[in-house]
Amino acid sequence: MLDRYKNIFISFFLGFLSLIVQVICFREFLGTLDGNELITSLILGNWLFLVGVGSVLSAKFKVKIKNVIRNFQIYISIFPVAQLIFIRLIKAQVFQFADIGLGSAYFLILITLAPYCISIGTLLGLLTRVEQETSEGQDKKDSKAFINIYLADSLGSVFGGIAFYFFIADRLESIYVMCAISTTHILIMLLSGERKAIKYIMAMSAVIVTLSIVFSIEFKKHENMLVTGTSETAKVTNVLSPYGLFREVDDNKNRYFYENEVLVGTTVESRFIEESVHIPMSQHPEYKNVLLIFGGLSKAIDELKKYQDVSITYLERSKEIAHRIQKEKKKNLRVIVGDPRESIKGLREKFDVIISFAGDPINANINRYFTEEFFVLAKNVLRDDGIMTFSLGSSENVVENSMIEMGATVYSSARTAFKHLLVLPGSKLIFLASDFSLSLKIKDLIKEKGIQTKFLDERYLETQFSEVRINLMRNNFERSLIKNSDFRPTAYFFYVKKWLNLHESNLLLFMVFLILLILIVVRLVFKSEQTALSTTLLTTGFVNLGFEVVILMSYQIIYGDLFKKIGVLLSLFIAGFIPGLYLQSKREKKRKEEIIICDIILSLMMVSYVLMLNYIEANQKYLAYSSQEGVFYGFALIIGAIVGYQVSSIFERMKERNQDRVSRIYALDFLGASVGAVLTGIYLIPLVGLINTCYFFAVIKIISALYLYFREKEDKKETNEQIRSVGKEYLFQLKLALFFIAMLLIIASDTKTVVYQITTTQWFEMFVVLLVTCGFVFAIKPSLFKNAQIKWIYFIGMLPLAAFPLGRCYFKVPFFFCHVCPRPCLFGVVRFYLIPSIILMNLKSKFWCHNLCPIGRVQEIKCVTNTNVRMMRLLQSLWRCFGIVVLTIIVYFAVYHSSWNSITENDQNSFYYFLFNNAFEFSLYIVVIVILFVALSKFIKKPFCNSLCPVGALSDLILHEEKKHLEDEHEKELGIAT
Amino acid sequence: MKNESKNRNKITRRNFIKNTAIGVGGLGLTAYGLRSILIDNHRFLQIGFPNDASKEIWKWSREAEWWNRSGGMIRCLLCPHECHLRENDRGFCRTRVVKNGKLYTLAYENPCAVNIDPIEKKPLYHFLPGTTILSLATAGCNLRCLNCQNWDISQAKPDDVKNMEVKISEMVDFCVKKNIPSLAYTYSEPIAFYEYTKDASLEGRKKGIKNVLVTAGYINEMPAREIARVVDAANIDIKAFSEYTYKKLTGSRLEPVLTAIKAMKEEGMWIELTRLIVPNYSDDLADIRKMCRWIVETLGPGTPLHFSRFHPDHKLKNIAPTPDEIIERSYEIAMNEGLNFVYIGNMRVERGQSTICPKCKEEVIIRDGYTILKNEIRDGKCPCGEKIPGIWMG
Repeated sequence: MLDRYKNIFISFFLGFLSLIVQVICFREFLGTLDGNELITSLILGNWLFLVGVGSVLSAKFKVKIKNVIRNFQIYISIFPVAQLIFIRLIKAQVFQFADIGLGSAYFLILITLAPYCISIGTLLGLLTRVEQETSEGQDKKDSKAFINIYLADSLGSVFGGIAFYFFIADRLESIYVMCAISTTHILIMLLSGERKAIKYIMAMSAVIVTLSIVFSIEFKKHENMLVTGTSETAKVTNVLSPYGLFREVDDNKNRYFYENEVLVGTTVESRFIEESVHIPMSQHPEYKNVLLIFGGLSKAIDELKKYQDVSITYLERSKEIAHRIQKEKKKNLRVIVGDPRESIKGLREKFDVIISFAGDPINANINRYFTEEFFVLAKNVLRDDGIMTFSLGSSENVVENSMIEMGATVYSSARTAFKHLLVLPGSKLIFLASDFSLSLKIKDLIKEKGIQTKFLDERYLETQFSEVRINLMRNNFERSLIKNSDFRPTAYFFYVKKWLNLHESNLLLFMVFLILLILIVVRLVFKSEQTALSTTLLTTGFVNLGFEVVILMSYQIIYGDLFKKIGVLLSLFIAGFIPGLYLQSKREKKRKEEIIICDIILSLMMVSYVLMLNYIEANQKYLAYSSQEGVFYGFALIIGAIVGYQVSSIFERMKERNQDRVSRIYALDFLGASVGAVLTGIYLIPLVGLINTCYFFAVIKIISALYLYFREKEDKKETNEQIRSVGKEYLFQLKLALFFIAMLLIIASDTKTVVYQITTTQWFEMFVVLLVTCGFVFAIKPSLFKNAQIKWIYFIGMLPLAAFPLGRCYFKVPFFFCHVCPRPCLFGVVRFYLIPSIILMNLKSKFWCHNLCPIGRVQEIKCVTNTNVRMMRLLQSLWRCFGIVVLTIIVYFAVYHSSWNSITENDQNSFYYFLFNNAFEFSLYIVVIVILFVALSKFIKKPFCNSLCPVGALSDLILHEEKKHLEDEHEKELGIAT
Repeated sequence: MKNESKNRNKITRRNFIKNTAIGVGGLGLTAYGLRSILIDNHRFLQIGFPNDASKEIWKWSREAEWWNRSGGMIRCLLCPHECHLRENDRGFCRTRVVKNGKLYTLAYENPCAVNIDPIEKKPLYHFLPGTTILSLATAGCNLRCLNCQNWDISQAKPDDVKNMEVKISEMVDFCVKKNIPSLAYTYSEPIAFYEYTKDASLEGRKKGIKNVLVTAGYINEMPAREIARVVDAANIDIKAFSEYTYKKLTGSRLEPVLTAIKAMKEEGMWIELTRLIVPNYSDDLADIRKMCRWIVETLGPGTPLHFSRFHPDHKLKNIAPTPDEIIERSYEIAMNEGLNFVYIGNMRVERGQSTICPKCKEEVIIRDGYTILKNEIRDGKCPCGEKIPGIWMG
């Protein structure tokens, strides 16, 4: 193979194969975990994050890059099969088919994807560097190398998407696809490998291919038992569909149906099915024409058939399910395959009853069956005296707050279309909606119908659906709450809340994940000499992925049938890069204005997308289906093109060393995208809705354009020293940010308990002891304490010691009353040996205060950014008086309230009450004082340490004569001597 | 230059003293720190949540029973978890909180669910059949069952749900007024609202109302005996009969449950047992056989046993309902092991619905779901004269 095209060839197939792996992993994870948008965003976010991390790592490899590339090619040929088997086995063998919470899901996804994604990211970075080195000798245009690789990877992804959806999805089982991917990786390695390494590659290939095949065959043999837990005697039929693997398990009496290992239906008789069918059917004597939405695999059709001459129209999304129902050839049953929400629009006849078995609003797709728009659509096909029923999952006692909220938002949405609404506390919450007055006498009505049921006996109906109970339900749900709509899926949001409660998770882990990402990104941006360009790249990645999530979700909301089109939409996003990159590579002059214009166009695109959505929503009936779809594809393509154009322009303008530049560009793009995916899917869309999310993106891009316009001018003026100084300042800001994030986590009611639990575990305390022990060693030999990473470990490890008392002290005087605190935090627990340790360490040039104390470290801004020495000295001397003032006040109070007996517990104005009345709640006074001290540190050097800290004061007394010398030394160490 | 660097490397007397002080102090303090973590500190014993309750919830509190002081901590003795709690910590059950050095229950006269149910729904088939029962529950539970069907109240704190204020006297008076013969503490876990259950049972008993626990029986022996003296009947759910499966499914241990069942039986409480069969977890027929043997040997063959079909819920949404075959085979095993009254719940099959006299093999109670179609038991006896164990009307 010609060396010239080798890297492009590898990149193309890297894109091609990784996209297929990505889609398969998506499908597998959604089956293994709960398939809601939280998990989707988590998978996407983690994938991009890990690829970004890989890109950062690629800069670390400096020599023998070709060998490194070869090694990584070997890794990525091993991982796909291993990854798939791991995902499938872990559900059955480790979690025993139990759903897992957010934290476990997060770590599972991270661990599973890490090897493959990091390798992909690293390979991409390394290939770009090798391509640059190759092109340097030819036309000396290194941006072209970047564009070539980016283009080849994007093109590969597009073809990967097409290949998957047209040739692989419903033809080959995932395990065989993964085997084929491993083999293809090896073939590419053989084709692109160097002659001298060919024997080694061949040997490795033989091992990998054999292992993959052996594992796959063994796995397939025991798959039914391992993955679904079904007995060996049950008959299992597997069918591949565009939605994944459809599995039917027949145990001779009942059948169970799974889609990607998610139970989608059974033929087991249940009380819920009887309730959902017979309660609405009994409300009217002459119901004949029934519209059934989903639920065909259950016994619902059989139950309906108990009524004479009833004709059923059944709407089903899945061809496989529809096929099974059609096979039974039931009389008066019409099956319509397609997205039910779409199909309902095309129905011309009117129905007496609509029964929806959509399940809970676990994602935006299912949420569409609980929105006010859907209820209006349903009412259009309902007779005037018709009735509609749907249900929400809950136990019979609906008292949990998020469940009440979910029910209430659906209730108020249904009220927009129907005059009368009943909520029945059956096996699930059963909603009856109609324009005629509904009867509460459920038992009498069913008895009147004379239908034979197995579970709805008289006493059950009498007690379960008593008027008192029904009215209690009504009281629960009749409250003014935001309506659930297509573009503001509040029911889905409350479902997420309920889901988080179910798993006792909170969003802390997400917060940690986001903080981690933001820290890495901020570090990358500020480490760059061109912060404005880096910021633009970051926001572009963010908006691009965020918008991808928006477009996928809005497409799903309007048309529902996303599974078929997800590949097309994603491919179009990536395909858009190609003309963008191509156009940019043809431009001779690269101007900053072009990047700014791209930002503005992106911003305008977001606004026009909102307008387009509103227009399509309003005129959906009059517009041709293909033209509507075309608009979505157009948006995906144009956004992709602008992003491609802008990214390559930014690369061209970056003036850094090649290896840094490549890794930074990839990393910023991927990490920005990762934040975009997580933030949009988890917070933005559920909280503010789709429309406002688009506006948010538009604002972000406008801000980024303005920042680039003004900031780049300054970037040019700055000297190298100033840049270094900014670097120091950035490090300080990072410390400050971490300090306040820790405070926030401690103050926030959702996270306080978790932080407390983590910091008071034995392990954390052991970690603190280890830090203290090492602190002694460093104090004796300070030269060991030069490593920046060690300093960061100390800062982060010691942070809870300082932040917890400040954020949430039992009393309002942090650090002071620990000896009588009934529920000590970490500081309260370790203070017995920490305080003596500090004083001992301070014997050596106040080592603790200057190096280890987190409170001291967050007040170093003055030392870092000092510009006016005279002013500083003046303020410093004034500040010394502050300590004296505080001391005077304390003495005054001590004398004034000489006896604690004079302070009564019951007097609400007393000092005692002030101290104790909000025990464990955060004190606004303390938080404000902390902020004031930090703000003051901009003007006065370490205001707290130099005036109030008792430990520092004691050490100062001991080391009085050394003090001045120490301060100078410390400032020198920070790089800016006053 | 050379001299300078030499001087720098040379250790001064001051530095030597300082380094020695730091080194010796460091060693001592590290040892002290480790000791305080590993030996002095009892925090590794702690179970539960360090979480105070909102002010609103405290109005439904009273001092809890069954606790003592252990070191600087409070040790709850109600259930076998025996949570060690500090000030403001909340127990594993989510309802018991330490305040001002005392243990309080936050589940007192604040049920979140109150309904009138058929007694058969509990399920109790040998206890006043055909009557209704006033059922109530507060939030909280001391188990973590993966398959819980009432998880939204059992796996919640009283703070997370809509609480009603139902005074014990009001509740008992309501039963008397509406002619409801019994009160059930059910849905979540009555052990989590032990004090409310006990006080309501005492009050109910005074006015002729019977009391029923629907529980998993995860309670220490002494409190179990005490509650058994005021409660008339219980349906106890044996989730599995091996420690391993019990732990996996509920996060708790089996042995204390068996001890509590024995204790309750000894105190004279009427006991019916339930076994929910969860595929892949508790569907091992050998395990079921072992359990049946234990019931026959310990509680007697007259103890009713209800096999219940699992339906996907809570964290086991993707496990299919229990196959008919497993339930039916379990029924056969129980009968073969010598149990006289075996029932099948949550599904409709011919067997396991009616009460059959062990002597004449006639159906003495015929049921259609919760509806009693025929009841031929008089004075606790079958028409053939055989005594049918249970608590019967009249």
